Amino acid sequence: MADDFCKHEGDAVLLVEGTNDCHVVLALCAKNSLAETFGIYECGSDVLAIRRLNALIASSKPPLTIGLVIDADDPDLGGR
Amino acid sequence: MLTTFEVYGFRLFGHLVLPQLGRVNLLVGRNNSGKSAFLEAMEIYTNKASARSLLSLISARQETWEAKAQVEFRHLYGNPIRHVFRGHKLPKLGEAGIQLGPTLGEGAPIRIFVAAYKMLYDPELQIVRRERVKPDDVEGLGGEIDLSLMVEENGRERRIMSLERGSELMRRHSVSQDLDVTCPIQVVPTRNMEVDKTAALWDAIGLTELRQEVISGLRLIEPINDLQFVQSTVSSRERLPLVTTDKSKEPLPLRSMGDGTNRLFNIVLALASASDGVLLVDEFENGLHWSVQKEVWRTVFRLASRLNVQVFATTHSRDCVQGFGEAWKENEELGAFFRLQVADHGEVEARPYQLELLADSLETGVEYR
Repeated sequence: MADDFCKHEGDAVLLVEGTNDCHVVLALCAKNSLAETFGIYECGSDVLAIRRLNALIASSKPPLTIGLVIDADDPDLGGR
Repeated sequence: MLTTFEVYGFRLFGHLVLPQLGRVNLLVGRNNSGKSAFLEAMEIYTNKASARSLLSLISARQETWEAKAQVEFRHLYGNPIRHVFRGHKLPKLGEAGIQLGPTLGEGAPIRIFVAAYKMLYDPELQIVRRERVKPDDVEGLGGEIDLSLMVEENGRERRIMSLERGSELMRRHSVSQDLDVTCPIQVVPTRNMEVDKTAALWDAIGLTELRQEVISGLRLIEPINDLQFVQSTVSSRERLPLVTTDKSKEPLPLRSMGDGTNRLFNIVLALASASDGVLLVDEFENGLHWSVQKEVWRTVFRLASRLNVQVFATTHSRDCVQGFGEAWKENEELGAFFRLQVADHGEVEARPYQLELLADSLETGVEYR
């Protein structure tokens, strides 16, 4: 089960595929002393991340800022 | 069937556009976003702005409250019919007023506005005739002028009612019938239809095969075998529906079956009674348990197609949208979903959702209402 801090629903959100991606981003933020200006939402898969992005843009309560990290473990974007 | 619908100047709407309507349409939106007002607009359009429909709508919202006070203080605030116009103000002579209907080019909208008439006495025929007065010519005619509410469709104008002595006319119109309404329309309000209305609808379909459709619909919740309206022992004027079920051969009042069964009866009976017309349901989900919503929507999609009914419903319920979405997926060509929302510029707008977008929202748990 994902940690609560990987299910952020605030005004600035970074969508990632899974729990591992969430923890990698959190570690990168800590390592680089980034200010906590956004939260992370792990969606379950790359497809679900894109679907959540789609739904959030149309939502009645859309975040002000949405980021998306997918295929972080696959540098070959040719198929996308 | 309407494929688009636009509303100008009605209630809170400046200019609302609903593109790509379906056979079965569901609207969501926050409180005061205009869902019920949209249903009213559709009712007025379908009834061709009949006096009866206009007056019953303002009466249902208790906007006739000052009618009694007007007897003592005439023109206290003006004719209550003003409430259907944007800003609660009657348009001035020559102003646009309300426009309701399909986008131009896809059908004929109706236009509701105010016109002035001069009363002329014809001594030969001993009658008083009305003669239309152009807005620019009204000045100086004073008390001879009769202001009337008008509707125009396809270039043809019709006088709906006089706007003078509003409260008296309202009482008279409230019992009059409109003769020019050709499209059947049924309305299921949030708290269901009056029992005498359901009794009348049941009388109309009771000897047709639609009777079985209604009973089959009821079986989504209770194993009901048959239904009949009988005279109430309490009131000689009241009739009440009794049912028999698989569980009990003794007739039981439908009312005793709970809110869900009664809501379902209202929806399915109204749908079966709206052949080749329109069904409006405000707060569809009222009384219905989440577990039956999908099956109820499947019934609505099936009957609406079979009977050529266009359905417009509103809801606040996530379960209701979930059920609608699942039924829509099985009937891809038939559904449409909209959210009414106040845009940054302050006007209400309709945000259409395609089937895929609604599925994305439902399955990822993102708020769409």
